[in-house]
Amino acid sequence: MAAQLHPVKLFVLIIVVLLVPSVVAVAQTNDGDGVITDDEVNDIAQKLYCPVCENIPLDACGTAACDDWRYEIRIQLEAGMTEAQIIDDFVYRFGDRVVGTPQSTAPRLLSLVTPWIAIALGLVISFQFWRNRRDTDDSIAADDAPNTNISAYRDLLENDVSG
Amino acid sequence: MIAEIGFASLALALLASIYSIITCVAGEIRRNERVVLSGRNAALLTTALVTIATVALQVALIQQEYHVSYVWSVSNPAMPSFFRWTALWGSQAGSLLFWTWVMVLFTAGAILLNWRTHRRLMPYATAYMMAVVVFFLALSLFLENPFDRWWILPDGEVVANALIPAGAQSPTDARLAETARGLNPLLRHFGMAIHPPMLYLGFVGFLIPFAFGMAALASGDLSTNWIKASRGWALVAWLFLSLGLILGGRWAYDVLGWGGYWGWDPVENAAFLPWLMGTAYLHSVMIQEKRGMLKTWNMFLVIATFSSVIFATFATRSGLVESVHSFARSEIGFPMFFFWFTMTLISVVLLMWRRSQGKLQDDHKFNNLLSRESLFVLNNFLFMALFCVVFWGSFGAPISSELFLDTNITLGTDYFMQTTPWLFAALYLLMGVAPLSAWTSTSASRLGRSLIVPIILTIATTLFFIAQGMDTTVAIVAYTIVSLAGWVALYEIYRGVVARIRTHRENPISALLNLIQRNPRRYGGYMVHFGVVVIGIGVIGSTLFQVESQRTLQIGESMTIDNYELRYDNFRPGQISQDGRIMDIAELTVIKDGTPVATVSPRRDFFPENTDMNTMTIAGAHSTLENDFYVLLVGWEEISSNNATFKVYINPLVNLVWWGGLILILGTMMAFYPKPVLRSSTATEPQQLIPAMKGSV
Repeated sequence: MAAQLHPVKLFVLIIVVLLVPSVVAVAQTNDGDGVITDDEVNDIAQKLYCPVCENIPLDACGTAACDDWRYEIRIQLEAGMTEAQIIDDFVYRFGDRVVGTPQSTAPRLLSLVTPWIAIALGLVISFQFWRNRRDTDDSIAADDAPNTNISAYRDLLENDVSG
Repeated sequence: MIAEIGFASLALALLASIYSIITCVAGEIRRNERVVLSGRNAALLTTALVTIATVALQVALIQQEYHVSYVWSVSNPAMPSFFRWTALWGSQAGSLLFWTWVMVLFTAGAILLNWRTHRRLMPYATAYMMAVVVFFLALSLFLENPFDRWWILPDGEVVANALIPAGAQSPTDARLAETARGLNPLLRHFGMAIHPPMLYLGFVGFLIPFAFGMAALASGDLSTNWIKASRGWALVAWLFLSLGLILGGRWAYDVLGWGGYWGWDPVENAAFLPWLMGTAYLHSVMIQEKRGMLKTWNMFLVIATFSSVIFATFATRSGLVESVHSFARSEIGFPMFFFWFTMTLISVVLLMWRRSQGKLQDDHKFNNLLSRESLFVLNNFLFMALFCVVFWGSFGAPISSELFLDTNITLGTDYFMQTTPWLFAALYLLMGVAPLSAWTSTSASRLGRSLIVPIILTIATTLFFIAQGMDTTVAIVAYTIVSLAGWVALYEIYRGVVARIRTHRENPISALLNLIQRNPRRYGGYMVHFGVVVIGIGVIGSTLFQVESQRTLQIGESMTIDNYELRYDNFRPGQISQDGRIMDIAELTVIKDGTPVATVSPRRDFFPENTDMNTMTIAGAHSTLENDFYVLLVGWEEISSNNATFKVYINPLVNLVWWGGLILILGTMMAFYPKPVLRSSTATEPQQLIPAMKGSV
């Protein structure tokens, strides 16, 4: 059977076989799923900050440099890179300043945990302070009769003094 | 001539303010009334002189006197006259002068209104206010002089100087007008006419409570007199600061072209920090007024609030951190840092000194964890926690990483969205509970009973949201918490109205008005809470449910987003505006459910004369209470303009942020309304107080 195949037909067959994957690939990129939309680019760009401007998300920055970086994201998406890979690549090239919180573990922890440590410390100090004062107040209360008008009296007194 | 008048007025104002400090303090120490009065008059003279200087600069701007380098740098012949007025605060030197002017006006107001009623505090308070004025006047005179003029030196070099250099000649205004820069495009917006003055009024207003607090520490009058003297001023400052923040948000929404109103930008946050501290102070001070407690803490808060104001000014104007506000940077960073540090240190040392003398002892102690004072302390803790989180994210992490880690950590929205929502949720929850607790002591069962109706209403609201299709857990939880705070505020007003209807047989409207008039502070407070709730609803909606999409369209083509359709109709390139800007305008039709509802015209403005920042993206928006349909022109095909790229945002409930702001402002004004003086048998008279003291003195 194969021996009866005309060389021209064989050539056409080979061409067709070779072209099928390309045609399928082209069809896939045009069917809506394969084409990278602006929204997909912006989804990633809004998680990044412009490497040269000041605190402006990459998706909102209007400079030509940012246009180029957004185009770069598009190319990277087309090349099959994931969101995390693209963000990592930007961090690798421009440093942690291009992301809202650092990617590396130590600076990330430092960024996110420090204020809570400060708050917890404040809470502990306040509690300690309150407890110490409660003890002091209790001892004062044992000596002094309760009075609710001391502040009001002081106000009047101070006003009298000032004439 | 006008520049000479302004410069001389500033120089004399500096001398008068220094004289005022010396005489107020010396006169008070030596108990010499005439000297003290001389100091007071010098402070009032400072106000007059700074006013003359400010008017001089404004006149120079209006008359287009381009030989004044400030006028040359912020205006040009093409600029509409409206922006010549707002150019007064359009750059560093002018805004510093404007800031100083607002400060001396506040100072004069405090002197005139409080001199008789708080005579003992006033000399020290005046000295403190003048000390801050001296610093800002010195900045204006020596580092950022708005009255510097252009001079051509004999060797042809052009310099800006306040005084005439030897052999120099003044260039003509006409020649200078050709190169005049014009106002920064970002500032050519109506919001900029109001936002900076409001913010300055808010910032500077906190000087008065701070000065009264310091005067109390210096004079030894540590009663609640300083709080009474400064409460109104604190409320005014808080009102303007709130207004400034809201208007700043609106400006960002309209002008910065990114679809949002709060980007957690370091300078936005710098203005938010004193607001957080000031809000904590306004709550905490009530405890001292009602129960004579937290005296040290209140003093600390008033110091911290003004310290944050100076820090915010330093951060904005020094370029400490990178920000969209970087146009205001200059060389005043170090002096400002030094002033901030010294002022804070002196204030804290003074506070510690008085405390160590035992003069800030509280009259009562906390009895109950559910009492209103305990919940106010919790409120203060949450505000402080928010302060810590915002400060760390905006300044702490970037500065410390650069100093100690040799890296540059900039924390953005991602960080703030991970850290702040918990604290905001806790604050809203507390806003829902605290107003129902009583002073001194409240039992859990009593508090629970008070909460029954608001909780039922809150559950009904949540069920309504769920029935409407809301299925996001975060949104359901957030709206439930915020609703509770709102219902508590409304329910408390309702209860008051019903009580008046029953007891006084008034109609509901009269009952409401009389209720507010009788206790404006309480009901103004509820109104403010309600405003904050409305803002919360707007923020949650516009943050969690924002929809965005970007598409390139051909003329006549449409895109669909949510239940809207957007049709690209026309493109008008190169439109020249009155102020010289070149506008590229796209025209689009917004279609909802098949019916055209609006035409929007997003545009890109180009300012050919401006070299630093010469393009602006102005959104086209269709606003309803339900949402904003917000369109940005991202790009277009240069030659034919047939294709243009649009970024569309649907921002649900975003307008509630502005409406909530308005309610908040009305509530604050209501709280500021003077309470009628009622003389009843329950009023405390001095004679009644003295026997009460016998047991303790």
